[in-house]
Amino acid sequence: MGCQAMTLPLALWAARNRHAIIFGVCFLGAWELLARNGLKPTVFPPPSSVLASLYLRGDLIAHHAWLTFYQTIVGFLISALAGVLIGWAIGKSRRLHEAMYPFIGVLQVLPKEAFAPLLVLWFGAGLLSRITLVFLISFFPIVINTMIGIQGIDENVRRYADTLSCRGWKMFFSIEMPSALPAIFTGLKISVTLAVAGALVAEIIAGRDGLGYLLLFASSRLDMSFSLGLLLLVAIWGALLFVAIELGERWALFWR
Amino acid sequence: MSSVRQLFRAVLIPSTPFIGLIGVWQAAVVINNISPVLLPGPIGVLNAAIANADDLLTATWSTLSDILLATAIAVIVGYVTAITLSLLPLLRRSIFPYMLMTQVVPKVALAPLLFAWFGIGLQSRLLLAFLIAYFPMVINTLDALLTTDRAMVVYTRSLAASDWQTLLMVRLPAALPATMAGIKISTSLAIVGIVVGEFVATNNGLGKIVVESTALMQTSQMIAATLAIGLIGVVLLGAVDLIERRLIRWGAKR
Repeated sequence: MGCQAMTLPLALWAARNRHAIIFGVCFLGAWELLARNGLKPTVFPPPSSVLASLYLRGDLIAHHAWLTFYQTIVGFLISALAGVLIGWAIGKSRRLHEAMYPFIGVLQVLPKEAFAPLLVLWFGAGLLSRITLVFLISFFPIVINTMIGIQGIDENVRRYADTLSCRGWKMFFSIEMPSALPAIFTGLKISVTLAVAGALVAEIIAGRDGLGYLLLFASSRLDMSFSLGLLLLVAIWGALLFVAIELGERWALFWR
Repeated sequence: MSSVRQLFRAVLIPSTPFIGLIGVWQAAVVINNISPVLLPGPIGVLNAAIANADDLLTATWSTLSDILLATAIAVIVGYVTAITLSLLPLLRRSIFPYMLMTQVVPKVALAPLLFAWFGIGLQSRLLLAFLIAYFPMVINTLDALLTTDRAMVVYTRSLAASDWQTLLMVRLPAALPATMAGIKISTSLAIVGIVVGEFVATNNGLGKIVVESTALMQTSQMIAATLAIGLIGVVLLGAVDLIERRLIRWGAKR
């Protein structure tokens, strides 16, 4: 029963994306064949050896992957919490908006990755500098989207809630947050991808550990199967986080 | 009286956080007597920037021109890709889902691989920036090309317009706002690509100055170069924003 419930959507999805699936399978097959008979395996390793290299170094990967996951999630959660609160404050107050919006606009377009060496100088090459970079990179989209969400609340709804003496925390949780949630989730989705990229940049630029460091190490030794395998892991990690946010969105916005 | 108030509102209030940040920075450095190796004050950074103005300007120009080149390539190739895919449904159905997937993949992770494959020259940096900046351009433009108002397209067909005419006169202009949004995203991503490339390879531009002066403990020069990168970002994206507004105003007039 449960099995059937699962297979039907899967079959529909496969039917809709059949062209892409066929293309993907052909592409991987052609790559495998070419890499086995012709292309230098040191430059373009076949997909099978990419997977094998991941399997063989499982323990090493687990240690570094855990660090990357940890700092991405911690940095992202801090920026989500701070971003929603600050975005809410700026969205509510016209004064604050006038004063802070140009400042935030400028900070938002600054390429935060450029600050990685500075952060390493201040906080060392450990977790703190990387979490700070993840935070800086993923913070601003959340602030701006939350602000837009709060500003988009209908003034009449606010006034009506006010007449029902819905103020303070009650207003925050029963009017403001639900109304701004769609915009907040847009911000979270932009940020979560940036967060993963931020963690990797920090590890690549000033790494002693983490997947970014491992990637730099593997490609400096021209171990292409392992490098591509790590890249695959990083891609899966980015996709998993994105899907998690999307599931969270569906769960939180159940009325849509 | 009211004009003074207007000036106060338009200039003073928005600039308060900037002035405040610089003031707090200088005050913190002076009061706590922070070593200039760890954090020089804004005046120290300015002095270092003036002392090394020649090097900084050369590096800024080199970084800026790389960014502009990468953006131009990503935008043009992305635009052409989007048009091609909008005309070829089979190809689109085969590869567009993968292009969407690249959105959630942190593409900066490609940096070490690209440098291993193609060396530490300009081609690797350009390729990194291109790969980061290309997909959002395609996705934004193609999405808008595919969702052009059906009634408008049918109407143009009824006037015996060819597919090419429909594309040039209806679909592409209608997609312009999304295209501009794509250009904006691509520009900001190209900056990241080039700068990260310079950090990793350290043979060129502002990224080289940042990494080298960090190694030499010349923190004021490092902060000056970091701020120059920030300035490039702010100026470039401001310029794109200005063009976008002009275009939209021009589009609204027509």
